[in-house]
Amino acid sequence: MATDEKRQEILDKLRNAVIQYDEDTAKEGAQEALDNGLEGNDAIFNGLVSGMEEVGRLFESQEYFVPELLMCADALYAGLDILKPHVKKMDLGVRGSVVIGTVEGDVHDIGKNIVKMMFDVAGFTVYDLGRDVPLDKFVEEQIKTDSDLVCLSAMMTTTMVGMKKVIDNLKAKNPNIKIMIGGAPVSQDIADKWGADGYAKDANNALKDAINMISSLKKMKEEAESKGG
Amino acid sequence: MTPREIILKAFEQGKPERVPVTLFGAGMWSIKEYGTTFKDLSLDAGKMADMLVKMSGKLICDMVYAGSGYNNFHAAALGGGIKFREIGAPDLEAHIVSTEEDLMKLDLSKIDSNEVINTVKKALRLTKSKIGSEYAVTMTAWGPYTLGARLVGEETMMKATFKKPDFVHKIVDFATDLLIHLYEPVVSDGTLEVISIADPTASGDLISKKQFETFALPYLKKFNDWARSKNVHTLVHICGNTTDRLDLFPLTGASCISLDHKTDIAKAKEVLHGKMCFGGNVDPVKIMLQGTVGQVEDACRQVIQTAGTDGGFVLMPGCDIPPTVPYENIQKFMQIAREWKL
Repeated sequence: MATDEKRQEILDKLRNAVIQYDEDTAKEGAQEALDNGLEGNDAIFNGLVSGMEEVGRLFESQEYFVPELLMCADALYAGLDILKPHVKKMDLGVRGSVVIGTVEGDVHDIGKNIVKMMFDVAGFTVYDLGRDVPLDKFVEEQIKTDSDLVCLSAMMTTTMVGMKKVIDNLKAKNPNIKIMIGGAPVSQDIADKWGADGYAKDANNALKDAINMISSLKKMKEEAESKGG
Repeated sequence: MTPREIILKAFEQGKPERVPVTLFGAGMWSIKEYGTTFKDLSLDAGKMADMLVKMSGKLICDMVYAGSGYNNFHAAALGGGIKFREIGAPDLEAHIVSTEEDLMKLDLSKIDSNEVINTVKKALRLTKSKIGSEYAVTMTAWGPYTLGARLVGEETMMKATFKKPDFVHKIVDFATDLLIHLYEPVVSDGTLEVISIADPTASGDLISKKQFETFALPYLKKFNDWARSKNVHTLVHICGNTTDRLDLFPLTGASCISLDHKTDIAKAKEVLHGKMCFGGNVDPVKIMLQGTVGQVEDACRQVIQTAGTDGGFVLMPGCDIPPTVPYENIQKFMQIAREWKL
């Protein structure tokens, strides 16, 4: 096992690799984590995700924009690909499975991909329908996979109206399903009006919300571990 | 003064007799209202022109936009497929450029023989001959950065701004040449006096001020300078909150910059008045789609009061409007400006 000092050094390396969007260092750090016997979850959450939290802060304060975010996401995935096979299945008491996609007529999927990444990291099973998804497909996929959460994204004022139809259809089929909507033209007001359970304000807040979710999962995990340990 | 004269006067930073007013594009709204589809009109210039003329009579908007919603054909004409859909504008089936070699192989002249583009141009000419003395008739396209991103893919291009910046410059420069090639025939025969372009991928919510300055601004300038050299006005819409980069907009050489509802319009007045015309910025969703007629009125009055009483300003929504915006809200939007004497 790594000493506390070594562990911290590796976690910092992973964290900084994500913040500085350095894929090579992220891979290196992930390999070091494994070589030094760090837990996969430890390296992911306290290294990579901790870096992504800082990226979220930089995004909020408009030091980082979408291109930077995409680069950071690549670095995170580079580390994650190495660490993930070594992660023990997380038992968080959450049946995390989620259907996600950008609604029909809309090809903007960057925000959706960033949110998806956070679900990936959290160990959710993600059914990504991609972009320009026919509205009925969301309902079909939810039923097929029995997912608890459906996330809809729209980036255009001209396509967002399709979301309401999906929400209505999903709720009619299964009133207990949770639905989160996001995208530049969407608002809390619209989420309330259209009956969505969650709302990611825009690209900035979609990430923030996803990170909040991961952070709370992290907390649950820590609690579960402290009880178990 | 005709609506055309009124809006052109604003573009020249003058103070017309009333507040100029226009939607931006509104292709999807108009086509839905006319009761047809993008596909149905795509090869029928007569019907497309009829739609534009009829909708113009209904909207009484100072500008009329030919080609709104058909922007992706400019990229597709070079070698990509197009997908028509029930909802939304026709889109590219796939991105067509991965490498510099791919880019070198593209042949600009292919847009001259694209049937849909030629239908739009024909509809533009027909519309212009019918209502061009009354309204400013324009033709829309993506701005250089957005069109470049359409060619290579948005994510790829954004990452390339770090990994291969020279490639990005080449792509955006190529997209600029493509736009000039597209517009040249309808500019040189005197059809167009205003060009409208939208550059949503250069949004203030997506890229930093520094990236905008590096990868979007020089090419907007190249395009707008070309238009200016032909005595044609340019209306440029940039999405997202651009308050931090308002000072760069006069450098684009555009006649008028159309601002998103997230941009601080008071600040825009402070920075832009006297340097260039600007338009904006009533919330297209919260107000135009969801608001009552009274809320539309209040929002329009507030924007005009804040930014539009000294000329060089056009009342616009902060972006294109959803196809389901109630007609009454658009009517009120137009009415407030039309009755506001300057």
